[in-house]
Amino acid sequence: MSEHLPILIVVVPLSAALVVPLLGRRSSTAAHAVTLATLAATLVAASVALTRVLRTADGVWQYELGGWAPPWGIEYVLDPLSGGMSVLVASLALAAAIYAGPYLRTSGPDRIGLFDSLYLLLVAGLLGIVATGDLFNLYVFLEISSIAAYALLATGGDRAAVATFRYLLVGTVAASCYLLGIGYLYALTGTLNMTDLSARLAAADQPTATAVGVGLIVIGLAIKAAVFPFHGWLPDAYTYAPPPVTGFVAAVMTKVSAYALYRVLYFVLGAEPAAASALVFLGWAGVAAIVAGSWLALAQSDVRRMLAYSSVGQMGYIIFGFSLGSPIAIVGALFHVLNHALMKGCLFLVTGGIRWRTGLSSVAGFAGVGRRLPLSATAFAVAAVSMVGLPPTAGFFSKWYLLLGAFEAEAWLGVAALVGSSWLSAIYFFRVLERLFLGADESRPAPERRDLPFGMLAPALVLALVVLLLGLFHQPVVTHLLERALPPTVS
Amino acid sequence: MQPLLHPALVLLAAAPLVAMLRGHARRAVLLAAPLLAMAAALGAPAGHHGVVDLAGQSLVLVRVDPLSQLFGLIFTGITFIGAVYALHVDRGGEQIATLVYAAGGLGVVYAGDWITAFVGLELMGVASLLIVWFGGSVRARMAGFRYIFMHLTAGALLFAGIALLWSSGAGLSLEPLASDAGLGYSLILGGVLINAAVPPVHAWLTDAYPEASVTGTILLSAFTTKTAIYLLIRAFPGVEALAWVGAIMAVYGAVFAVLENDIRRLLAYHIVSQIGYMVAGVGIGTALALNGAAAHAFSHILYKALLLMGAGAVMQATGRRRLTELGGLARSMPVVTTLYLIGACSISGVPLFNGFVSKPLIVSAASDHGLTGVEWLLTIASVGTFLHTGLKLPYFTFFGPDRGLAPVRLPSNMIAAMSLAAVACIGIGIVPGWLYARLPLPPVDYLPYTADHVFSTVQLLVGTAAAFLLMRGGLGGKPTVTLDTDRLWRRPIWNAVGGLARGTARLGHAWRAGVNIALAGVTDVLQSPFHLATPAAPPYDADRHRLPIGATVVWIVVGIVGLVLAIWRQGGI
Amino acid sequence: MPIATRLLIALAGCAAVSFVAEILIQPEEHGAWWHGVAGFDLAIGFAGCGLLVWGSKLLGQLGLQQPEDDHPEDEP
Repeated sequence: MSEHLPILIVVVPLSAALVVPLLGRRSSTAAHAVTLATLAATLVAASVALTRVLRTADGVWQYELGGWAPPWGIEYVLDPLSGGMSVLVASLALAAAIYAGPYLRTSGPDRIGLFDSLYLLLVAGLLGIVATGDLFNLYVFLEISSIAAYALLATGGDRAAVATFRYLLVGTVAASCYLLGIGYLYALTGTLNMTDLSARLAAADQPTATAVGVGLIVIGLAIKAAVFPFHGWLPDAYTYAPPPVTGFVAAVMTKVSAYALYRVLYFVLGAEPAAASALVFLGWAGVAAIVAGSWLALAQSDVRRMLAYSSVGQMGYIIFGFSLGSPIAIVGALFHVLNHALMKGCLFLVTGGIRWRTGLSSVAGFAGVGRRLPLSATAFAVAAVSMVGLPPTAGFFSKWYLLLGAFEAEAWLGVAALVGSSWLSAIYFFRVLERLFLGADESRPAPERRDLPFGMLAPALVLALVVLLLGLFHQPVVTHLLERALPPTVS
Repeated sequence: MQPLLHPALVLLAAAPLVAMLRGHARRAVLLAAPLLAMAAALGAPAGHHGVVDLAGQSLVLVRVDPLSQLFGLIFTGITFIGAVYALHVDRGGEQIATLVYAAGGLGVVYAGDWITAFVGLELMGVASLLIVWFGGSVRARMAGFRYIFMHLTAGALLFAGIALLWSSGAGLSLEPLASDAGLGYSLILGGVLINAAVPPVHAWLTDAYPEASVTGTILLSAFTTKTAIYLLIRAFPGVEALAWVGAIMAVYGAVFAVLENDIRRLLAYHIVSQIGYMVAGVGIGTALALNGAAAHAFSHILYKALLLMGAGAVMQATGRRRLTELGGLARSMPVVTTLYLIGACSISGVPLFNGFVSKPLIVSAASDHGLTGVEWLLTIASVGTFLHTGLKLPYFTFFGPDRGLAPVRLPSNMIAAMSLAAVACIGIGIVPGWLYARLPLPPVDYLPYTADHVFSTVQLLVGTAAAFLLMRGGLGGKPTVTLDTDRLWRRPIWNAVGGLARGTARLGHAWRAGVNIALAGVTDVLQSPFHLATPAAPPYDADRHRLPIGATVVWIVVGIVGLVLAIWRQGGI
Repeated sequence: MPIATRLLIALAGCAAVSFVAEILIQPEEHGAWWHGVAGFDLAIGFAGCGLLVWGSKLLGQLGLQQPEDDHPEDEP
């Protein structure tokens, strides 16, 4: 059984997605329980696979689907990078699903089974993107996850439906770009397997076609990763969607697309000059994203929208780090992928919970909430402090590595953007924290202290705790995982 | 190897206990924690401990040597005194913030490298922000925002400077920095000077410290600026410019204190003045000067706390803080008056008090080193110090015309805390050798109680007192506020932040208008249907300033064409 | 006020005593030239105080001091 782990990571949630709606007709509790069990099993499987990969020397686990050897067959590749990403996706999926339990019971759709099924499809799709070693297979899972995401995001109400429609339009354009791009590369090399393609592309020697193909792939993935200026779909989609969905999607979906960009640009296209040009483009886009995201976040009065624009800025950090190309910058970017997923997930979960409890999600509406929901507010505070980049939280260290990488590469605009955006994010986060903890109106009687239900509170607290621990003990993670996720052309 | 327990960890461990406990249990923890931390500090074995590796650089988490022990001792001591003073306070949040703040300060003084120091500084920044905010008023809130703004700027400068140091290959250990280390040197110096409240970037101190609560200000005055002095002693000894900066700073603070009407703001300006002495000591750089800076920091923490505790007691008892509204309290609050006067004598350098054995070290060093101008300025500042803290404030608060104030009875722990500090001030004044033995650069070849020193000090004070008595009519506080350098940028920054938000909205508006005109027909279907006609336009209204999705599609097309062209041209065709 | 006058007389007495004592005892001076002059610190104290007060008040008149409640930025 354990030889099939790479495929099981994807197949188990996929199969459960088919079973859960049937179960849901009978009993929604059972359906949700099965969902949680499936996600837990997936997390265990991903962790076991990652441990195995880290223990082996060269650390690559190649699994052939159906015993059909590549390049004709589809293969799944688990190396420290994809193994780590799959653990990240699976753990956040579980956290958000636990959070969704109480939420769905009181305010969610009647058909919990269908919601869970879509959720499992989304998770399966994202894990597929991470685990696959085949470019077209990646497209398939990209579409699976996107469509499931559209459906889930739209369950938040009327505004959510329209916001998701906008996302759908742009997302489909993105996926089509990506498909067209790999079409070009397939025409050039005759293969869709990642390792095979990278070997054959240099020999194809068709710079124009390569340029078009690479350009389309990069733009397509960049749109899904909400790289500025293609981020227009993100703020609305994240603001109006139901909290468990936002918590998961905001944490993970753009990161997976960023992972795909990283994989394609460094591992597949490695030494190609086309990749180098694309990285320069992405570097500028990243710096612009950092500035624009922090700037626009400052203007928001709704906390969810503020977090959404903050995510745009944070994706800029990650893309900028990837574009610098030095080991320390890439390690910083990868570490930020990990950190941001945890921090943003926690922030969106708590914000959603506060809105669920009080009906308000504006900065002014947060006044005094820290007294009503003390533990949730503490989790929010830890994650916010990490987003600002104050030591010893994890956010400080990833920004530190990125800053060092920028210094090394003498990218002074990037340095200024990094330092400036930390400053700006301090302003808008401290504004929220001040309202949360010190904004209570003394004249009115103190509202009862009733925190979020355990199912909603526990994931947020665990995420905040991990953020803190990851900061204090990040060194092993950096040496044993992230430094082994560097591409061969860099390390 | 003796076991090592970082004093900061003791305080950090106490914080959650304080959160969970109530009543006497909580008070017991609040008192025990600083004492335990002091024991841990005193028992720490000398040398470098806790060396960890961070991406190729080695961090020294704990470095124990005479200088860090000196600061560790006084920091834990003042935490204890502050805890005694605040025993009657019920607000757990403020107590926790105080513990974390003190822990951060201890982290900095025991740090062996810049990154650990930075962690401690950031921790202190956030915790002190909370202490300011716990002042509770609207002014405290706004002052807190300005406070954290300045501290984050300092943090950003330090961050960038440390990164530059790192990438230039110079080690990160907390040792004197070579002045040719380039931009990193200046950035770090700038960050530390902001934390040391050097004019013109000192306004965060005079703005925020008076707005914190009666109990909060005590610790605020002790830590942030003194850790900055510690860092200056470690990394920038002998930078002669600092001698002049410090001297001017000393006079600056004194001048503004003379103009002040609010007793706590007056004392805050006075902190700036005294820090000026310490900065000057660092700048002079000789062993005597550095010892003087360290000794003065030690004494200053004690007597400044005593003075602020006294002022806080007055505020708490009468509800007033302006000299124009106080007077004649010596009769109704004799104990507070006496204890305050002990603090005033200490700060003025009266013989037999601790100021007399610490401040002249620096002035002497200036004179020995030939920096006569510095010596003059520091002497004038001493005159000013005695004038406003030793004469003007007590005269108009405790003596002077009785305004019929009926002070409330104070909790005994406040008096106890003040007494502790007063005893320490007198003790060090009488037995200076105790302090001198703990200074970082022994031996201290300065004898405070010589005829020369005593005469010159006494004469200085007498002269000042005589002038004050003659001019006291015109020295009464006026109901005014003094403009300081922060006024230069308070309005502009306030406008800038608001302007950022408004500017964003206008940009979005303009962009939308342009795109609409260009794509009216095509994108009509895709227009945002959430159009709400709101009468009062908020700075950013998501529904009015939303980007139509067509704009993103346009960008996508532009992006594809641009990227493909870029890659193609790179390819060389 | 009589108290103030008494204090002034007492201070004058202290000043005189220390002046005379300094001349008689001739403590070892070091540092700049003025330390050698007896009673110089009295002058510094007196004149310095006056200078400080006068200078600060001048600065205050020049616009540093404003009526209270002039902090519009304090509105939230």
